[in-house]
Amino acid sequence: MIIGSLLATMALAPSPALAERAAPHQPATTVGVSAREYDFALYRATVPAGRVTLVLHNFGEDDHDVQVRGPGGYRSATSADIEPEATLRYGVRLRRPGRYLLVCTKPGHLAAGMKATLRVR
Amino acid sequence: MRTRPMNSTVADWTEDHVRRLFWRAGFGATPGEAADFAARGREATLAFVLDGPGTGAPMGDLVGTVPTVKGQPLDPINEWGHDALWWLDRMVRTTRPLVEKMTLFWHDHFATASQDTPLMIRQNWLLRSRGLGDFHHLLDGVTRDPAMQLFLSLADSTKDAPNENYARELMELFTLGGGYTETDVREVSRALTGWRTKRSRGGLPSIHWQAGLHDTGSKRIFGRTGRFGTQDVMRLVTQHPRHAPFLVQQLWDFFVTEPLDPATRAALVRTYRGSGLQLKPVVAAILGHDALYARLDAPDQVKAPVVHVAGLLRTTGTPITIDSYTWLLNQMGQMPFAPPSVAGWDWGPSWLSTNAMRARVTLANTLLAWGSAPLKPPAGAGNPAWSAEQHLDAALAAMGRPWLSGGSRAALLGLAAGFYDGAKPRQDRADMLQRLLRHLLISGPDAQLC
Amino acid sequence: MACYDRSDLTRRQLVGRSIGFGLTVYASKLLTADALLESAQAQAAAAGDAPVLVSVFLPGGCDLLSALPPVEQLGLLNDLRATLPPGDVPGLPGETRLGMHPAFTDGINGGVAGLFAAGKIGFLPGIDYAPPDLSHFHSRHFWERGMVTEEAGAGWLGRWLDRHGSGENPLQGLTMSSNLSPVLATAGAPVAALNDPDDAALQFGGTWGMGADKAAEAWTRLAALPRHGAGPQAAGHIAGLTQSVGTLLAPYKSDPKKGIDPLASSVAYPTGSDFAKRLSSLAGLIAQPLGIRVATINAPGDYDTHDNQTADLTKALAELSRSLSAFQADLEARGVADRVLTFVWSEFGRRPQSNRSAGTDHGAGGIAWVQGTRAASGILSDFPDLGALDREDNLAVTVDFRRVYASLLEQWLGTDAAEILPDAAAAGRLQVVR
Repeated sequence: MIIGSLLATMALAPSPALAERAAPHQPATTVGVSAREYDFALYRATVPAGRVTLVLHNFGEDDHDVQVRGPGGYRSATSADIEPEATLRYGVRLRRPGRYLLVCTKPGHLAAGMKATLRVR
Repeated sequence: MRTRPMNSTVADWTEDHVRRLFWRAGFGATPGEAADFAARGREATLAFVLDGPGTGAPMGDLVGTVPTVKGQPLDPINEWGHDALWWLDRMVRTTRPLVEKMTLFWHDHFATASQDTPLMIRQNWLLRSRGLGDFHHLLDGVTRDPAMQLFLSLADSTKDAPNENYARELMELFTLGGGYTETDVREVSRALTGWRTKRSRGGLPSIHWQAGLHDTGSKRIFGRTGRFGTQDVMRLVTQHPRHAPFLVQQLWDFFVTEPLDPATRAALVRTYRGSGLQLKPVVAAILGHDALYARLDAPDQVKAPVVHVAGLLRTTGTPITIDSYTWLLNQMGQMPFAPPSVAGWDWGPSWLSTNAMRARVTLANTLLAWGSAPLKPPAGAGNPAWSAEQHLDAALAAMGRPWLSGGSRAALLGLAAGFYDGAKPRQDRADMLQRLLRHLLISGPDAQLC
Repeated sequence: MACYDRSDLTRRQLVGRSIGFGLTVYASKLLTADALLESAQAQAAAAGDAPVLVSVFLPGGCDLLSALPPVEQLGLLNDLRATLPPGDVPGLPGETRLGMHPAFTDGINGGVAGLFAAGKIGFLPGIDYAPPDLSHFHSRHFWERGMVTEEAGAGWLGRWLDRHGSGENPLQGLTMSSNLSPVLATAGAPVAALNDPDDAALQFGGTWGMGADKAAEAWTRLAALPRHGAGPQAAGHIAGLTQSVGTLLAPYKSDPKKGIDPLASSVAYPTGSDFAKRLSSLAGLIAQPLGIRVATINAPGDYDTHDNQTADLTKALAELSRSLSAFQADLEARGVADRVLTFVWSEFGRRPQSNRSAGTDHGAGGIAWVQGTRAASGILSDFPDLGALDREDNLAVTVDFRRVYASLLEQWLGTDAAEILPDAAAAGRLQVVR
């Protein structure tokens, strides 16, 4: 199992050559996010400042959405609703390094703990 | 380990043998591989398929062009659908196709879906790393792995609230297929209690053992009584007399279309039990069996959608450069990481509905004609001066020389001969004919079989 | 006991072997595309006003006691469902003894409850077979085959098509999905699976004009070559049928740019539901002279409610109620309702005693219903007594599904049930059509 996980990590990391080639355009960093009652799970914990694309999949039973809140009172617009089993791509621009919070704005969901931290460096 | 086939009566070893073996045990053979391994002979070919090229990478090296989508590398964890492309690429570029084919077998056997992508990929690595090893070890790993625990509600099944879901499928689909009672289901579910989900804020769920939630009481399973736990259940189901015949049949049906006769079944069961439930010797015996090479001139296994797509890319040396394969696989009825239920997919002729066949034609359009089609024939691919035979041969060469029946060959030659309707052949018409021949070679009925 | 004596066959094997039996007849016929099409069209036209049976499957095992709670036994139900209290149970319109799931009122004209009140639904509580088998795969296979056997083979409506259907028209048996339902698996009769009628044409990319015609001709020839073995026959057979489906549906293709949609509905189906969209397409196709006789569709949602049952079932039944009520209204608006009967079913029921995960495990005595302007209405079978559970603590089976199948075959499709169902003679009949 440990060997399997290690190999998975190695095989999944983009090769350095490709990462460098892509650098001049600074494409959006993609962050996979799963949503369910009442949790977000982030597949990437830290991203470079700049454009970030959240790829949200709803594994739950209810509709969810996402809003990103960050330093200096930053608040993104709230995304469209994500229905169960649906996937939504949601782009934001996170310019300032720091801690950002992903929250679900559906009534009661944040209070139930539906939030997660994304670090921007 | 003994991997020599137990049945070695096939006298000669031709390119057709190599193609059959490479399709059934992997994702097809290139013309070069077919010629090379036909020359190397049966024993060497089987040894290569089973043990790999011996480069020290037990799960295979990836050779050739790294996949990209819109110029970017794949991001299987974060980008939706890239998990399927990532695995497809392994099938296309691996030096150990059998390892990927077995991973596919186990993904269907231990079908799991609707879990976080990192957990699904972690399970995929587990299936890959143990897929040709010890079944008991594989089953134990799958049972403890989060993706399956969460999918079949084994996680959080406690002594006060045992959940029968995993216990039932463990016996019906994973190990026995029959020979147990409803009481066994209830008692096994009690024995498997004690696993607990732990969720950290913003992170993935993980599975932990919590002894206080395990039912420590006495259980009666298959007529035996004891204070059984997870380990005991793994031992009880794999030692059950129904297990070996069940698993041997599953493996046989995956590789071979001929029915499994009682004598061969008994021999395979002996091999499997005699090795202590090792998978590689059974797989070796099946891949070396004459029945796998029946009717080499008329392939009769319907290619599963991922085998079809991976095979087309592998045999034509085409790297992944577009993400269309994701929705195409879905349309064809086999989305990796998303089997329709815990019973997996329905294989064989069931792959072919009218809708799925239309999707296979669309796949050919995607590869040969539309947008940034990776196999789009360049202008001038056809020659107006060519005979029908020359046209067909050029198309066959471009498509990795796929199998073609005599009847289909005649039909395609007829198409080529009559394509100009008696008018003077022109370059644009010759190109269209070449596109069409290549299309029919990879979309027609013959292309669906291996 | 025979009921738990399972064979080596898994569902995969059963189903894998069930298609491709005796396809030789059709695979070896060298019909040109035109001849095949003409023949299919002629057979479609001949079907005319023939009755249509639509089968809607609720996968997972729908819970009878949540769908139609017995109000006279609410006390008992409360005791059994400690982790899953029934809560407020609205009454089923016009029925004093039964309540209904609140989600049944969702949809136009009052949803499923509205259809029941209007006399367009006949419920079949306690439907199953005895002794019940609690495996999804076994039970589903029995319902699909129309017989309690683990043997592989054609589905019950597939066998009906083999005997009474057309030899050329694949649309006569239509699954609105990527993959053919095992209910429609035939020994030889052509059938089709369809995702979207707008996306049915076979195109050979990079060909046009005369080249495209040549492509279609070549495809027809390749499809018609003689082949031996289930897989090869299926490949040729399906290649031919795929081409026929594309040609038969070509006149009904929509053109959004020109605002043309020949299958457009005047009824508002629920938005965001793929199931509703497929039902809308199906209603549109049934109203055309395409010769559809039997159609199958799977309902979305998780009926296998081992946990989180309240939320899962509410969601599933709400989408079902909204979609089925729109489908019924659409059939009526299109003037074809009197020749369409819908049969809704699930592979088994659920255990009366709730489990500790706020759900229920596999049980017996499930729910099904017939729906339509000509469906028998009311409660068509005895409601199983909560006070008289079987030895496994499951509901009693009060009506065998084969009795319902036999009745549908005779009363709706107008054919002898004994030809299709081996157990027809012993099954008995009940009135499912009026």
